[in-house]
Amino acid sequence: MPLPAGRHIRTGEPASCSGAERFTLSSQAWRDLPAALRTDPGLDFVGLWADATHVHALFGAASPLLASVPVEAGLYGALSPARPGAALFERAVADLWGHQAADGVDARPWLDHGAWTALRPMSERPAPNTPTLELPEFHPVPSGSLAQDFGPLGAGVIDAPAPWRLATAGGRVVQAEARCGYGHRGVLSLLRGRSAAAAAPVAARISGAATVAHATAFARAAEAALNVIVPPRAQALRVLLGAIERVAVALYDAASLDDALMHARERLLQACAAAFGHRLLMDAVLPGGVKADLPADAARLLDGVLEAMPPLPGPGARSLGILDIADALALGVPGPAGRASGRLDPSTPGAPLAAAGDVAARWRLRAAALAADVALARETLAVLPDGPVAAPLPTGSGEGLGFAKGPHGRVWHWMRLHGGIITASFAIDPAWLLLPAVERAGQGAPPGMLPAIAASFGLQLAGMEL
Amino acid sequence: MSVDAELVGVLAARLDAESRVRLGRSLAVFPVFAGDCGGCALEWAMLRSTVHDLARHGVTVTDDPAGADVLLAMGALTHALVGAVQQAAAAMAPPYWVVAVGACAVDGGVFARTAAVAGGIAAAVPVDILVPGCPPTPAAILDALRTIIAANV
Repeated sequence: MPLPAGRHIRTGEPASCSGAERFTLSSQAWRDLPAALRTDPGLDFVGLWADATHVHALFGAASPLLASVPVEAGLYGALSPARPGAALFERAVADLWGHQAADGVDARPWLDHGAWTALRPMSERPAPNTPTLELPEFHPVPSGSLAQDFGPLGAGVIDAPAPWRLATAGGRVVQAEARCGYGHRGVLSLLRGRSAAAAAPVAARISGAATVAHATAFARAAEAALNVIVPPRAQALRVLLGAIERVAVALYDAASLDDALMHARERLLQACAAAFGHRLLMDAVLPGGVKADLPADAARLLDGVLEAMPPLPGPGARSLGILDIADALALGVPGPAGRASGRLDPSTPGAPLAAAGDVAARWRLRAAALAADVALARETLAVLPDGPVAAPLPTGSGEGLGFAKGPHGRVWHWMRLHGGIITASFAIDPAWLLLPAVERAGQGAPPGMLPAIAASFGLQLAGMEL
Repeated sequence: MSVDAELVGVLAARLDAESRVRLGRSLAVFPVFAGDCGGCALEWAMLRSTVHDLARHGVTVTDDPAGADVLLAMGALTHALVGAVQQAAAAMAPPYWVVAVGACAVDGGVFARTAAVAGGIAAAVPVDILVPGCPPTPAAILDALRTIIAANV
């Protein structure tokens, strides 16, 4: 009987990463990890990434546990046989760093469609490549079904450059699959080689619908690595900015139920422009604190707009887009979407749960989350502490992990700094785990309902198109 | 009785002018999402909502480039999408316009110069109007579309 995965990982060599317990495992110990993970279903898989020499896996959202393994002969042991949510990460690691997951459940490329000017762009020695586009390879469709392809441009399931293949039978989706990579921008290569301050505008543009969350998680990773204490007023303003972003994005997603909610969103975005200088709050959060202070009159304006926020409308379609608890647990679906299927979300302890896992359940929980975020924003405004809004960022070395609550679940950033310069980093957006959930929940639905199902999850692919 | 060729010519010219004024004041837009963070797409969604009511300005949105007057590009142009954007433009009936919305579509923005990004949308097709901003406001995107409509009268 193998040790539970948490204890198994802690038998490794302790390593340093501010914000997480970190252990380096031998290749052999890592290869035993899938069996250990199977005996420890409560240990959440959060994400997997690499640097030039190691692969890292993050577990346990409640108390972050980071496991690392050296890559040997280009190989490391796959975790996807025990944690299906790891599959997309393993494919991305192969595309970006060239490390192959031995015995992974899916060896197809994820981000690289042959069109980059370099192969393995994040590896120590990228190989030059003449861009030639290869058509993405989809899973074979089940017999008796018809395949319908969309994208990468034109009508799709969401506003993103992703091809989708829907297999339908009897007017219902029996298999849905999206392919990423067409929107991949090379974000990690842009973060590397810059100071945290210089890289912050790129981190803030990983996902426009979670720009505050990404900027905050990125800043916290840098602050953890460099032992920076953020002043209380800046911390409170980050709480405020995060809550406002979650409200604004919930209104955008819920416009799939009632377009009139876009009026409330517009009022909020205009207040954001007046108070923080940017409608979507980009670049408002910086490493060390926040960009600018909030004057008292702008705070009153924001509070007035928040006070007038409408509740979300009726819960949306029942029995549509069902993600059952088994799939939610197996994939580790984060945020309100996971809770709507009955999965406890360690990042929001005490938040309500539902069991149905359908569009209606997700909207019921998201409506409660919206009301809670409006209340949080107003409470934060009422008790903003005085003081500076940023601390200076020293030039140092270290490794740090940071997270922030985003509109669709927790966002994580990891970075390693040397002399103040980022030498390796990664960002984990909820999209990595939400996309497989949307593909699963789309089964059984009419194809035309997939956009409404995706909106109930809040699927935004940009966060994964690094 | 014979047809007065001169009169036909006058009528045809009048019809042409009036139809351009009446029918030409509409624009079908084919949105293209490229290597973007989704920020421009959020503001485009705001422009499409009842807050702005695009139809009031004669603007419709289409999923089919063959029926579109405007290719509205958002995001940096990735190498993977160059062919798809060129195919979409080739399917459009001339005259058509290409609008680059946002810093990334203008010149690649913060994502310029990576192994995955070719640059702005101009790396695939000639651009008629640049709408800078990160992201541009819905009003700025609307102004670009109204400029095309106004030029068509």
